[in-house]
Amino acid sequence: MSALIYILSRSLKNTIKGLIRKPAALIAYIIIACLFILPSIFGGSGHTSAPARMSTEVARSVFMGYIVFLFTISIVSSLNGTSFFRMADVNLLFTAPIKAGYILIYGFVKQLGTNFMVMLFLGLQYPNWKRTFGLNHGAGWVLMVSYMMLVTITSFIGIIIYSYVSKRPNRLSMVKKIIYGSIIVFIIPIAVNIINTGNILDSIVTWLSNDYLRFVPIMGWLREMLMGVYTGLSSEVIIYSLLTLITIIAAFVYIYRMDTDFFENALTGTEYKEAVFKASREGKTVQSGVKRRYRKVKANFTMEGSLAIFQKQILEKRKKGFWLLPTRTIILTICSIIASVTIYADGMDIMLGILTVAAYLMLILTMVTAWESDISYHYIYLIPAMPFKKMLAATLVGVINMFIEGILVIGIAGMILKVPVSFALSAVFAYITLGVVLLYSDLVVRRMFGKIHGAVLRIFFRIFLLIVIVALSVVPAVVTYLGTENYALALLMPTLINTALTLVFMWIGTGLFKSPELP
Amino acid sequence: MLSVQNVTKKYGKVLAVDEVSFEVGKGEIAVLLGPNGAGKSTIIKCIAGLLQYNGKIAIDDHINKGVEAKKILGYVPETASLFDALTIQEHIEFIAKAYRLKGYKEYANELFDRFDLSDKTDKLGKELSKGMQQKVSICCGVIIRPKVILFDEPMIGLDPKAIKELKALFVELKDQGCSVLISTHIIDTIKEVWDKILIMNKGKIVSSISRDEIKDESEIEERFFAVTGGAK
Repeated sequence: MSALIYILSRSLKNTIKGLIRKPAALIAYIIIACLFILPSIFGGSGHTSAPARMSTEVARSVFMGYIVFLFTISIVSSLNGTSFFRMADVNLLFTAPIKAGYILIYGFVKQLGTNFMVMLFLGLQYPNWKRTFGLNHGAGWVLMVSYMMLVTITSFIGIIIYSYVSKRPNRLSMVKKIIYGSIIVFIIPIAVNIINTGNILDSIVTWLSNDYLRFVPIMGWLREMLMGVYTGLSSEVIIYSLLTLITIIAAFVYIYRMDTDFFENALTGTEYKEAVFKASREGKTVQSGVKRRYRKVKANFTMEGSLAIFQKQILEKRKKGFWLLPTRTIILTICSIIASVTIYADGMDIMLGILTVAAYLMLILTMVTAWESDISYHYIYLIPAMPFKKMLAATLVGVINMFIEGILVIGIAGMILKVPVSFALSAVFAYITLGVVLLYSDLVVRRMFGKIHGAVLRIFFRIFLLIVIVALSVVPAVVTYLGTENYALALLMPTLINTALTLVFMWIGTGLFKSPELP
Repeated sequence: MLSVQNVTKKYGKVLAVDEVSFEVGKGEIAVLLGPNGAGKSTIIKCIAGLLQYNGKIAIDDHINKGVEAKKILGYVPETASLFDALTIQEHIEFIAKAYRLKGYKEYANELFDRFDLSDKTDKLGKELSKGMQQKVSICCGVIIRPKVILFDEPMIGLDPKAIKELKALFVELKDQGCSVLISTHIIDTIKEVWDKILIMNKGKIVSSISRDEIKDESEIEERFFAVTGGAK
């Protein structure tokens, strides 16, 4: 056991030392930590800071939807093998004379550490949500504890399911059928409601907030726990927390008693995990780096110099699928169309709402961009072209994607809602330029913090950037609107600010294409 | 011609390359020989313009990080890295367009033949074994017909036939007037082809041997252990 404690403590020490060597990253983490801790300490007592703008039913259904989504994704992905371990653990610990149970605890502690940053991000979002949705005091802790319980229980269940599935080949398809069958059964009531009422949104909310769903083990319990953000620490929240905790302990004991049997499962899971990490380090999506199949597409390189990078990216995207429409664009477009069709309010207000929500989602739903993958190869640095041209060529696909996304997400909503063309165009350009500025801000984050700290700091930097954009553009936009009563002119302000920021970020980001070593 | 003058490279406080200077003339094969961690790959990456350093590096009188130098510089890294979604043929097409090459197809086919890749040109980068990837990486480095080419541990993962072909390729490049710099820690792999050996240890060039200086190739090993402090 002392060897395991040694690894954990040394790893922690070395991580901190590594951070100290990168002061920029350290400062950013300290700011994140302060943003998380200070609102919790000074966030006021007892009362809600704003009236709840979201009804209990809607909140309940949002939580249920989120839990079901995360749970299903996690369980389905665990069928490839799930693991708390890295290859070094497998090679050095699994073969060492250490009790298997201890190794499992060690892996579990490591897993908790990994999820800690996500938990911190939830905490960082809490003041926003508290203001917007009127959450109860202490809701941040409820969110974090629920999140930790959710990821812990899904990991454990993943291990148990995989250990069951891996014993016989026919079990995999059987378990898959059960999972997909359960999903269909779960959404049948929504379909029935839609047929009866014709209202998509209402049907989803009615089912997901259904009172009986609280009796669905784990998912229903977690939903009720999460409702503690509104109700405070009620007896119900405590009961469902205890039930979830008991399930976690039972699952842990079960895995613990598997002894070294879990080694084999962990080995497969770890190999998969390593492949995922490798793909992630190279800026690829998990699928593209691990099990993606490529279409046969005829290459036709016609562009020369730095533009060959652009053409290569298009070729790669054509092989992966329809390159013009990334997953995020499809999701946001569908959501935007549903909102435009189902919400009954003034068209301009709905458009502004869609623009705001889509811009917020853009922060979180990061699009994997090809430049991140390209800068992990030496070719891009050796190509005889100016770094600025290479930067433009490597990011061009992302810019084109943003244009298409802006037209689809905002433009189509504008057409459905029949808002004035000038307003729709301004909204489209405000959205596109925000997407483009975020795209180029990623270059700056990568240049400042490197790829190791990129994932967490990117979201932080994006939030910070959005605050800057809002601060710089809201006042002029409001002044313009008050002066002209013209939404279209008012929306031009963020467009101009975003364009100016984009140029600055392009200038800073060019350094990434000079050398793989950060200056 | 490759010229390296007083190049120093530090990783934090660690001095990886310490005031290194050497030249590789036109039509010359120089070999960087040294134990693990001697700084061979670091100096190669500095020359390729992948790392920041203090000092001066010129490729045919052009600063190595400039566009003119890049046009004539070939680089084969120690770990082959290919694009997952591109076939072997597409890798060559991409390089050809990026370097604005003309009339490269015949040469590409010749290279494919030599490295037994002709029947695999439609294979994706991710479908290839490590050895195959290394062969493609060599083709990508050579296809631009460089005036200076850097090979970082090029033999690793190659089968005996490919090693033989690669050695022949070194000599052909030399005959075409190309300056060839090869980094390796395995002495046997560069016997027969070298003109100059630069032995590196702890970030410095501790010895330089030209072919005229020694009578028997076994002397290289003796000189190597003498200056690097390793027991034979």
